[in-house]
Amino acid sequence: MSGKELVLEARNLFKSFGNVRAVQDVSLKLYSGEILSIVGPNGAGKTTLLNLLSGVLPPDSGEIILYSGEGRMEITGKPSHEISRLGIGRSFQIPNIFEGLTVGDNLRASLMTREGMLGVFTRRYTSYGDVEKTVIEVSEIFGLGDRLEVRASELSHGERKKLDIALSIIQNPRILLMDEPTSGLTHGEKRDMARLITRLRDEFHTSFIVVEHDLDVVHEISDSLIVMHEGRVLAYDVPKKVMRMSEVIQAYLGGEVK
Amino acid sequence: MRNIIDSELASIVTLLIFLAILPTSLSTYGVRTLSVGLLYGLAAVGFNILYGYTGLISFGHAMFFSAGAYGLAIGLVKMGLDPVQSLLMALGLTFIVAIITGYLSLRHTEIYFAMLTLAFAQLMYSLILKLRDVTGGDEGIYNIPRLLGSVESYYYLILSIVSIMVILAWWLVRTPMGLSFQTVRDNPDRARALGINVSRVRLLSYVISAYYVSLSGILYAPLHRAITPEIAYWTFSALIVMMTILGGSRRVIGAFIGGLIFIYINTFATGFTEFWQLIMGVLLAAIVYLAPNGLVGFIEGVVRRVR
Repeated sequence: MSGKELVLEARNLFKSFGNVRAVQDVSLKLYSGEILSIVGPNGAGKTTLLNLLSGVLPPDSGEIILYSGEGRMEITGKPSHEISRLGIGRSFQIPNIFEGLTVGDNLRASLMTREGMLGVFTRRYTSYGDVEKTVIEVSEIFGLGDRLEVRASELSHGERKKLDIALSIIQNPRILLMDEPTSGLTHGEKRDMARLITRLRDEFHTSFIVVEHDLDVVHEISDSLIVMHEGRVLAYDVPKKVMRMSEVIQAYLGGEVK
Repeated sequence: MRNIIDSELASIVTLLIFLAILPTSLSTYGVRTLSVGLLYGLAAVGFNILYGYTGLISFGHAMFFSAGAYGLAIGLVKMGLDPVQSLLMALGLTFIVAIITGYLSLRHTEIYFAMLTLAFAQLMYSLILKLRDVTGGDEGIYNIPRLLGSVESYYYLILSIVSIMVILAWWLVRTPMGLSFQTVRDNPDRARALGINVSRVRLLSYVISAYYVSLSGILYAPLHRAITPEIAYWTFSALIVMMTILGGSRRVIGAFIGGLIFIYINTFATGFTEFWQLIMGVLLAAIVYLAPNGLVGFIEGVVRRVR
């Protein structure tokens, strides 16, 4: 990772729900253009971690710091719409889209509402052509180019996953947090999704934090890998090394972690 | 997509042209009824910005109708202001009512929101009853001057304003602002994750919706020349909900047609039987079961199948 620029850092995050310690002392660093994957059994705290990073939940303690051209900014506890506006996008395990709108309007809404509520009067609206160009461009990257007029509720599961991610990508975020981008997809679709993620990294220079169950996908896309178990970071390194660690193998095989 | 949009605008414009020609073959009574139809249509379109496009159902929109109607009537009759001053007073009163009730009601959504709007509207109703000196209490306000000489010329004033407002609504729901309303309707969490300030979007939609209904009330007072607290009562809020569902909440034109024909169904049912609510009830139940997207949604479905 040397020579790469730090974009996001989490320091000693903690989050409990009653007696359940969902996230315990998690720290991580994300660099520009990096794909950082998080794996772990169900209930390991992966989704909670994404919720902390995207501002859906405030951490009990710890810090989240965003680095940009303008310097260092602490974003701990900021509401999710503000974090999103700072360039941290999010996609969801269960596709989270606007069912009543067409695919095109889903994308337009995501792109244009960034200009603020009174977007009616802003530049983006007057240069409507640019919006349309971007919508077509992004929909084609995701293979949704011929589905723009279709209502989102009529899409297949795979298309919904793609639209969910496209909604975030069209905003050109610096960082994208993805929750199980391949869950519920067929084998072929998983391969496509993995290729899509690396392509997005290469084309948009986006950094990714990806929660993923499929270890083949993880191998294929990840620059670094975190294994979580019961809210803690069990291992954090390049994927090759992590997958050889005995405690990781044990955690995945259901063995006790000492 | 583009041609569906155009077809909705084309339908709106065609309907408005028809409405401009129609009075030539109507009696004064008929023109007056049609005027009320236009105002109900305007109110339903406004209500639907909040309901159909932002996903919030209010049972208190009568308070905006009465804020407009009473604001204007108090200015004209009780305070002897000129029409422009009275209009400004009505608009100001609407702003105060909308901001306060919106801020307080929008802490909740769904049924809790609906109940809060109902409660605030009933509060307004009781204020209108109690503040006799200002509002005339249960007798209301009489002798409101008609702003243009005849019912016919006032009809064309109403039609001009309603036309502008309906086309404005058609346009508004397609702007980035209108799209943000719809994202909040469909999936507020996702909207938030995309950087949309959901509570501000809801308040904005609420206030815009309030102004549409208020404008309907403002135009209603000089048409009817007398207003009574009935227009602030909760049943009137419910009628606005019914009109919108009747016509169809998925489109601007749906709500407009719902309001427009509601007055005729009402008149027909009242003439037919004294249990006119029964006919209304059956009709509404039939719509909800058979055509959940309202009359306009039903017609669209038929047209699509024929093609």
